[in-house]
Amino acid sequence: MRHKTITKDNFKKTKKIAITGINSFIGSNLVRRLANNPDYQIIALDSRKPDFLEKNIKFYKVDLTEPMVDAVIAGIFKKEGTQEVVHLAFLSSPVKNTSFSHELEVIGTLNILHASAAVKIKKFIIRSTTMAYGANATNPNFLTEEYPLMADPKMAYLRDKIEVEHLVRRFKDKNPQAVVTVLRPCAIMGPTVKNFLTAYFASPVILTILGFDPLFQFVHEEDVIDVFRVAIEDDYPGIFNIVGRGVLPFSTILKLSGKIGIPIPYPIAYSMISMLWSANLSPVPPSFLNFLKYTWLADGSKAKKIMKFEARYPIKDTLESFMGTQRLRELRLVE
Amino acid sequence: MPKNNIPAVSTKTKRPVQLKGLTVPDTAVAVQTIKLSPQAKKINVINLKKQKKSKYDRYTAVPSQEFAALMKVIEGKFDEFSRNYDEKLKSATKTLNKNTNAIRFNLADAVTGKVKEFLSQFSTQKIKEQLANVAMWATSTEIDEFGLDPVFTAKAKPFFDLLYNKWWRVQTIGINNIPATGRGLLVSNHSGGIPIDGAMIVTSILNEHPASRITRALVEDFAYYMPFINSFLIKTGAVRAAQENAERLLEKDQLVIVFPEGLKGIGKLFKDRYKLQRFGRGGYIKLAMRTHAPIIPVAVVGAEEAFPIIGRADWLGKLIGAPYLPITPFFPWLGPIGAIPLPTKWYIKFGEPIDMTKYSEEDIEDDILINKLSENVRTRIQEMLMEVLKQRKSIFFG
Repeated sequence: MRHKTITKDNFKKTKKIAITGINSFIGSNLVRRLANNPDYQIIALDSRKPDFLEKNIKFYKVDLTEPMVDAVIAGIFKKEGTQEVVHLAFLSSPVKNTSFSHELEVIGTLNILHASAAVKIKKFIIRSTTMAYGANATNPNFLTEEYPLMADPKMAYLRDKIEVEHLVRRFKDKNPQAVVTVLRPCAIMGPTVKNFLTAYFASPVILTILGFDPLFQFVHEEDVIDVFRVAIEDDYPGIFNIVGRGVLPFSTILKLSGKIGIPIPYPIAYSMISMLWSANLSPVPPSFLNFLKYTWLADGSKAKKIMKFEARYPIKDTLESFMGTQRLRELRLVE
Repeated sequence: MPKNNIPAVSTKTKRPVQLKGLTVPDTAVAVQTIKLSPQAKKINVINLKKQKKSKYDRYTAVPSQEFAALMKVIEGKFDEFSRNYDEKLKSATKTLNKNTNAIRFNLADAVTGKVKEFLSQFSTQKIKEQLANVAMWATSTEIDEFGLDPVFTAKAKPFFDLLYNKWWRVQTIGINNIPATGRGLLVSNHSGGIPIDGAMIVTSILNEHPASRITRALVEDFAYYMPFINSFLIKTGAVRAAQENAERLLEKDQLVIVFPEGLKGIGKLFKDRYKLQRFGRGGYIKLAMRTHAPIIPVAVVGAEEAFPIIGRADWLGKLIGAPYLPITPFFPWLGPIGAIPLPTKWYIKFGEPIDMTKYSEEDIEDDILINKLSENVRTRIQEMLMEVLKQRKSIFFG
């Protein structure tokens, strides 16, 4: 009688995942979800040491903007036997130093892609945004994944995001062995997330464009982190819009959150925000104002169909969770 | 009462027991009045036989088991009732005492409470709430995915009803050609400088159709560049004319109106009234083929005279974001008053639905077929227009 021998292959192999941008919002939360999970071994890459480290997390200090960093990363990947890469080293808000943001986002992604191609990575997950579709009056009400990315090139933040998507598409064509997942969440809202949109909604008086009232959608931070976790657990090649449940007009969002909207004609608003932006007083660049003029809703039905993702939080709840924490922040009860 | 075999019952000596309308007399009679189980009946028969034997021993008859059980139940009910009644009475008196005490001793509290309540009206929280109510006027917190705001639409509807009933006195013909359920693609002629004919078709289906259906109008791109108009259109349920949008709506079994004449229709000069312009590039035919939605031709008569355009000023239109500024005998000469459409009599005729389910995927690629079908629909609407125009005697009185 033959006995079944226990070999190494019988054990469930631990997945070795490299996560870049471990200090970013999604990165730090994702790593907390995966920490102490014996199925995963995490190779964390960032330019700054994170405050959260566990047994199965190995941290490497890497600056993506440095020259020849792709070889360094490839070395790390080879040494650790990395099979999957989750690339999250992106800026969550537009910055004035556009040359830095270009270096970090576009060249940084290029470096990561070079390293990934060198070790023949199995899976590559990257974060993008539905803002890359751009806010145009001619948009259909629900933008699907096939729709071209037509954001205003004046907005450097989105120009970089679009360029990154082009790089990833080229990588996918060159590396057919890799499962490439591009997740495009819409505006992320929630109690702890901080980005330029939450900063915009945090101020008590909010500038709106006179005569325009586009529909908005938000996705709750928990939902976004869940989607990334699910994308790591299973293979979902392709591009997915990650959107929350329901839409609301911008004016209703302001009313529900008790903000005072100040409607200003577009040309005046544009020059006002340009001045405020250059004076460091506005969280958004002037090219963002198009997003307050025209609807830029994304269609989440592909993620629902293939990833079985359905947002848990309706837009009102998402907004309430953000506004509730915002009030506590104003009272200095939470950070 | 049987005379021979059952002895007479003396009602004098033993009175029948009266219980909730059920008369339970002596045992012998009880046998006949109460429904008994076959077993009990047997016992009773024996009893009766016994009685028959001893002629004078009438009252010694043993009560049947069934009856005894019944009595037990009834007694139990009595007990329960009296117990419950006692308890209820006790608790009632208790609460009564409590209340009287409360009234006696908490009068002062009540007064201060009232004062507090009165003062709370002036609290910042209350004012904030009231302001929020004002702010949320005509705004619903839950909307359709295309932005249709039910509260806002309900507030705006009386205005459109007024236009519909009083200003243009719209008369519908063949409203039953619109299905009560399921998808449908309405194709209509377009006119009137200010494209309000779409709103009137929507109102007519909402008011006149037995199913009172909501129809989504597809609107030309330029309206979405115009301030105020774009948000008004979104809130009242109009949708930007894009294949994706129309497909999504039809897949959800909604009614959709398209105006294939587009801008050429709105800007039609008065001399060209009721002459249908080219019907786009047949996008709506492809749409109907893809979604298997029946095409319902619609002819609107009266709208083409309501805003008689005699010229178009392109450069003036650019200033407000519109493709042109229509010039009529009254507009822009009389200012905003000149922009009021004339109170012509309107007719909206709904034609018979054209079935589109017979076309296959390959037919969608057949451009010549699509052009032909589009032309067919165009001639159908043109015919419908002519039919109504023939019967009409006056522009203003119908």
